[in-house]
Amino acid sequence: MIDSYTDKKGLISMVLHAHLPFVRHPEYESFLEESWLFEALSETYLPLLRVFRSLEKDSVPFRMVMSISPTLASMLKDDFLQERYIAHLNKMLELAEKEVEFTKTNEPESHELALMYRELFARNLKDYTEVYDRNLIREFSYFHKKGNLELMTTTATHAFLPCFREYPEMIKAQILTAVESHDRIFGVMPDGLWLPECGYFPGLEEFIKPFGLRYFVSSSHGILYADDRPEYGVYGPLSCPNGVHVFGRDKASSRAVWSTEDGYPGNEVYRDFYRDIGFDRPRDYIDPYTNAGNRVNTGFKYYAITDKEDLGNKKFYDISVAEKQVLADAGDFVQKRVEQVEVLSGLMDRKPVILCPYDAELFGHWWFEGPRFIEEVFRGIAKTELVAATPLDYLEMYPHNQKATPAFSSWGDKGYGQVWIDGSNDWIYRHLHKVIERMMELVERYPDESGLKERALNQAAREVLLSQASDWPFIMKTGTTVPYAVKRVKTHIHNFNFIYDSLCRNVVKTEWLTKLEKRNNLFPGINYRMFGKEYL
Amino acid sequence: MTKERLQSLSYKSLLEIAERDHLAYDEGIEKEELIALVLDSLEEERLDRERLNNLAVRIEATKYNVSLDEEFDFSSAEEINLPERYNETKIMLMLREPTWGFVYWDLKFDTVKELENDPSFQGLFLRMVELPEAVYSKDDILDYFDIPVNLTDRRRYIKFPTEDSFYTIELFSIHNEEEKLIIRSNFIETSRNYILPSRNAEMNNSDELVRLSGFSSEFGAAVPVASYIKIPQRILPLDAEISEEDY
Repeated sequence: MIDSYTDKKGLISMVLHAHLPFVRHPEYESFLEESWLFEALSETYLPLLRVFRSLEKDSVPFRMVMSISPTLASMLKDDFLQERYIAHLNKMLELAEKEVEFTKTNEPESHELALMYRELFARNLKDYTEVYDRNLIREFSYFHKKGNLELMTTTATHAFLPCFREYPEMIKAQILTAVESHDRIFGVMPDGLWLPECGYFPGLEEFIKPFGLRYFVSSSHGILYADDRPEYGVYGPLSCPNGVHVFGRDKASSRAVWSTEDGYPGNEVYRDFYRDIGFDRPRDYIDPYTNAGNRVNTGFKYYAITDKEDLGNKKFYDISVAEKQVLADAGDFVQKRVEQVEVLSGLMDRKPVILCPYDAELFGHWWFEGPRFIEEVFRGIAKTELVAATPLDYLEMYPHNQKATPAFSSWGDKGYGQVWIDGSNDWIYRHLHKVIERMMELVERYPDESGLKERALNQAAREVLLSQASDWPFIMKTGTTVPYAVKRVKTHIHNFNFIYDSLCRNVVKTEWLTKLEKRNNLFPGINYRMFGKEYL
Repeated sequence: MTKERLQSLSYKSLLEIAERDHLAYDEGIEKEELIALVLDSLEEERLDRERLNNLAVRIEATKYNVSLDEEFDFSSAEEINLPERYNETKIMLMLREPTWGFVYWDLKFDTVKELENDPSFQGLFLRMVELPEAVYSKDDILDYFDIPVNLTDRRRYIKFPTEDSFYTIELFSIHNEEEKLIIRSNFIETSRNYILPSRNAEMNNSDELVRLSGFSSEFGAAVPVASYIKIPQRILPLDAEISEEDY
């Protein structure tokens, strides 16, 4: 791999972090929050796989990192959610047919877009059912085996680890479960760990190393404020004292994509996220397709960003204009990285690495044209003195790096724990910490159970992990679907406490436990003993 | 939550929302007035959220967007009440950012009763203690300060005076002017938010590379890393640009 880099001036490492919390509600006929997964499938994951296929077809060399969280991977593999997604796509296709008819006579300006959505949903259905046979994991694995994708994992349920630094058993359990889940689902051990929200605290690397994980990603300031000035800034990794490497995020390339003020996605010709026919069409027209009993997003969005202040004052989206813009933006992005490397390589005694980590769902879901942007970026990189590579490629070239410990940091708003420890969500930690303590107590009390008791203890461990998802405090802070997030935290804590009390009374209700196992069915290989002090 | 959605709700549900949001209304308020009241409150909430959450956070939040506004959950039948207290004496200190921490604590029921019934009891306070390492030693205390708290208090945000230092927090009761330690928390090490000088004198270009990593506007980003408010974030505030001279 690295032999082909000799004539290249620098490495660019695209890292897409794909994550959704575990949302699965077979106890309901339909469940609104399951649409988080359906939208991400339709708008991000399937389009990204099409991008990979397109690059492969044209023999464009591309190599990047994808972190697929254990909760997302579990949902992608889940038969029940697969069925529901197909049902969702069929509903969307019905709505698309209706829209094609409706716009033909009533809204000709959006007729072409209605046709586009019909084609998009039809293609998603065909790809999902016929091309991939519902198995997106196999498709990601295919590109991993081909050498295009390096697959990372993240913690089991995407817990923001700095909030649990006093509970080493919990951090160990989160990472162990993630690594085992990754191995079981992808058939390969991961080499890198995506720290949820890039949340790092000094010493965290000690939990990472025992699992054979070689690197993680940090925010820029995590590297810059390390306990020794970083020799290469963020353009080379640091080696923590125990040998685990940390790569820092490049700010310029992050800003180019993340900022809606001066970043590419904010261009007014791109499709607007917020204006959706779910809010424009009459209720009786839209209700049969949403199952929400309320106005919700449908994914049919006909407007360009244009007026950022007034949703009602937007211009219709023009596909061809947006396509021209995405080509220009991808070209600009690549050109700026070339200029960057030109300057950096004059200052360094080795090739610089520019690490560009993003949330995967940004591309497609938020920024509709994002997957095309990624495709064009790779096509562009192939024509330059840059090479698309991964942190592992870099470590193969340069195994010895400056030793230093990064600083406490995250990539969240204001750079630390402000999002996850906030007046809106800090009430959860008293409970989350308590259930960890109780889980550890259960392991001490029942070190080697089997049968029904072991099942109950394993389910207790699942509930502990599920309660810790960083998504719930994030949602409480940002104010989207807060009641659901609150209910989820409370439900997992309640489920755990119920099992804890049942075990204390030596009465485990088999029927209740079986129902819970079927509902929260992730991590089938979980071993409750991992919460023990001496485990591993 | 649209006007149309509120109109579809029963008067009783609207009253529930008003109660939940602590909205003031006159008895016998008309449904339309109640809707207007809730809508105003929702709009206020939305503007608050926009003020509090920068664009990056709002973009990330779209992952969880299903509707235009927060939806109310009316499935109160499934309301889950967690224990308010765990009948334990405990104190936990968490680092939130380089100079702010969050502390929560609790006292055993019997301890609270004892204090309430003790005629010599004058109150509680938290003592924030700074030390050179994560080991408690009375002789090594660098600094401390006290914060009075009530018996009913359970949580607090506290500012740390010094970066790159160690802190623990103690809960004391006062009896006849005498302090009595109830419990001491875990230690936390406050974080630095500045760039250290190099340990290696031969880092010829490190100044320039650090500048390019955090200060340069040459490739489309310029943000000082001198204070936590202006550190690199997902979306970098435009007003954060600084001149090369400032660097």
